[in-house]
Amino acid sequence: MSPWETQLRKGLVELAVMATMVRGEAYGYGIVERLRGMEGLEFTESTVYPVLARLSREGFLAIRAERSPTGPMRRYYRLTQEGERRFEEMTKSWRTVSASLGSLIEGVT
Amino acid sequence: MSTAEMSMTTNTARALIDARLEAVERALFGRMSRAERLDIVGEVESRIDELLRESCSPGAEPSRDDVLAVLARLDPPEAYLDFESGEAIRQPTFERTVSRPRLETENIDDKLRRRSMVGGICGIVGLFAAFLAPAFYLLAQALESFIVLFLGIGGCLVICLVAGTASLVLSGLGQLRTGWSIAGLVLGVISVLLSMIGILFGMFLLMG
Repeated sequence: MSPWETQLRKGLVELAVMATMVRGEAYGYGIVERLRGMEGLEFTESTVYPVLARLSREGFLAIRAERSPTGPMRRYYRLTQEGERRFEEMTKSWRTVSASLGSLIEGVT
Repeated sequence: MSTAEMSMTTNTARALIDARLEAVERALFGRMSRAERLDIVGEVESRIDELLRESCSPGAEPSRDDVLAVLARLDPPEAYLDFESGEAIRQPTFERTVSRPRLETENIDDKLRRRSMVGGICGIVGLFAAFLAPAFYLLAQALESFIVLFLGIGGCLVICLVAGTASLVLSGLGQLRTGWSIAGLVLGVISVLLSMIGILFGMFLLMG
């Protein structure tokens, strides 16, 4: 992976993780699996878990523990109100940057 | 399999899981709070438990091979060293789990080894200077030169004292963990003692 791609993914991981919880709560590995199915967003657990821990500490995520069907405890994450606001801001920024960059690239190619 | 053998296998399996969890926590150490590290380790442990339950028949204790197979499906601990890049590559070999902490230990050991070696060399220099002093005495007598006597022996004793002291300090900093640091300590003590004896003897001669 090129350094540019690494930097791009680094900036996107938080937005991608939060986006997986927009429609409802999700557990840690469930988030990893969901992202794995999306091209360019194949973050593994060593990337996703620290982001979840940080967002929880910052108050953007709330946690609920529940046993999984196989037995072990699962931690379910959901966006708090503050998290939803943060996600909206990030989405807005992303759309602006994406649209501007898109038109710039189209003008060149 | 006997009960004892089964128990040993279970213990080995648990030890493997614990080693992995500890390695993950070590990889995160210093870059986030303990609570966050425990959250992450909790997620990893929960995932290991789920995968083990999926791979083993109900009620069966997981074997060492079961655990190794499950651990191989997860990110290795070193992937957590660079978690912010989002660049984790799945290279699951359990032997790699402590590679980075081991590198850090090697760096520390290298420092101690270097200090010990320099300490030992200083000790050798100090002792060499101490044994060189009588040669200057003989040379000064042959040349009948007070300057050679004073500068030669005085210089040797100063070098002996300084090198011996440096040797003692560096051997102490080397924590006496290598042959060099032990040699440095012994040679340092001898050098300092010889230089002190030489200085006192010189002062006695000058005053006499």
